[in-house]
Amino acid sequence: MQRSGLRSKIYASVGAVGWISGSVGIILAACSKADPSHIPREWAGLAVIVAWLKNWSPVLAPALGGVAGVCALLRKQIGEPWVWSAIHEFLNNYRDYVFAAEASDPKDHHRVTLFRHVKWYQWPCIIRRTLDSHLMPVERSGHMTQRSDTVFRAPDDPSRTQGVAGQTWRVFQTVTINELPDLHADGSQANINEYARRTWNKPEWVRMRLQKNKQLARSFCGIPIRVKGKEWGLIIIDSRSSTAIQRNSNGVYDLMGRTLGKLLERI
Amino acid sequence: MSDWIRLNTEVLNPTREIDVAGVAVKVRLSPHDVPIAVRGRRDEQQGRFCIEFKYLDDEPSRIHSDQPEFRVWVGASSGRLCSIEIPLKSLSEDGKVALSVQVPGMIENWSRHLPETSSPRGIIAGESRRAAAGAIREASAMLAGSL
Repeated sequence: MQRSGLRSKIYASVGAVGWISGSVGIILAACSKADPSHIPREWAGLAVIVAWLKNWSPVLAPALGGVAGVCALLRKQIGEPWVWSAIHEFLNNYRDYVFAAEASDPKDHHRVTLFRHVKWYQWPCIIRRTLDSHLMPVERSGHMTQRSDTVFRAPDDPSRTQGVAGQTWRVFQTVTINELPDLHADGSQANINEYARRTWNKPEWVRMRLQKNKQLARSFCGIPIRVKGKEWGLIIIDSRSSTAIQRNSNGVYDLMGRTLGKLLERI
Repeated sequence: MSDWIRLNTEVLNPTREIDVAGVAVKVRLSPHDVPIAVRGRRDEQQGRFCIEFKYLDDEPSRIHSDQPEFRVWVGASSGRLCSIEIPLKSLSEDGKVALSVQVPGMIENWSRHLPETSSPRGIIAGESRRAAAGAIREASAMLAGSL
């Protein structure tokens, strides 16, 4: 999950490169029509520069135009910073509604995470060199546990889907799981096996997370999301409380989900 | 066209318990697959009554059934029920009966004749159509005003 500050800096940098490339490309294209012999003798230095640019403009102008185009595409992929801020705010508000009764708990004990379904040939799956599609976290509520690199397999072969996120994607229905074992209180093999079975993970993966003292929620809710009718990704609500998600998380989403959909159309 | 009638999605989208990859879990349709509002329009010129469904996200629609007695538009990507058109002469004069019994029955009858599929997406599409039929029943009293 890309840190929002880094994402904003990359977006701005790519934009600057695109603007500069495009502007220089336009100047070069204009220079291709210029005649250095018409430049006054007092500006002889400029005539040399214009002549040089005129020689190189057939190559550089289209190349810089291409760079500007690539930058524009990259910015579209990254998404405008204000859109990500609005999505983060949405997740915060949604989290506050769902866990209103747990308002005094630390924010990272009850989280709402937005996952995007990314095909193997799309960024950033392609750098993982895997032929499987994945569900990748792109934004999360709160101000902690933001640097998540936990992804879940969601390939075309349904038998290889992984985790609550993977199975929610597979059935594309809202899935709710409560009363999972508290592994931080009792990390016995029996509890690890039970937790792994009920969350569609391997026991080794669960044990690894427990050893790294990572959060192992006791209840989950996965809500699939469509954007313009197409399957886009999902929201995963996780909580250290075993029963908090039994309350109405769907009804609140019905009130707020249209806003999220409009924001996701922009990324 | 009447104003959008907001629906109670808790009623339209009940929780079920199913087995997912060997684990018993509670599921409901995605909130994106259940209509959140519905509205109706009487077209005297064409002699038809048109009902539209609103979802959490918008998408283009395509015609699915062009039978004169029952025209259906579904979402181009999702297959959700977007709108239906019924001839006025085939509806009961009692608007409430027409909308609480006849029209949902037409949707369910049309849905039954679609190719059966047990794939997850096929199941979702079937449940979504049932939710749409339920939406008309729920809003029948208010829709009857535009009939």
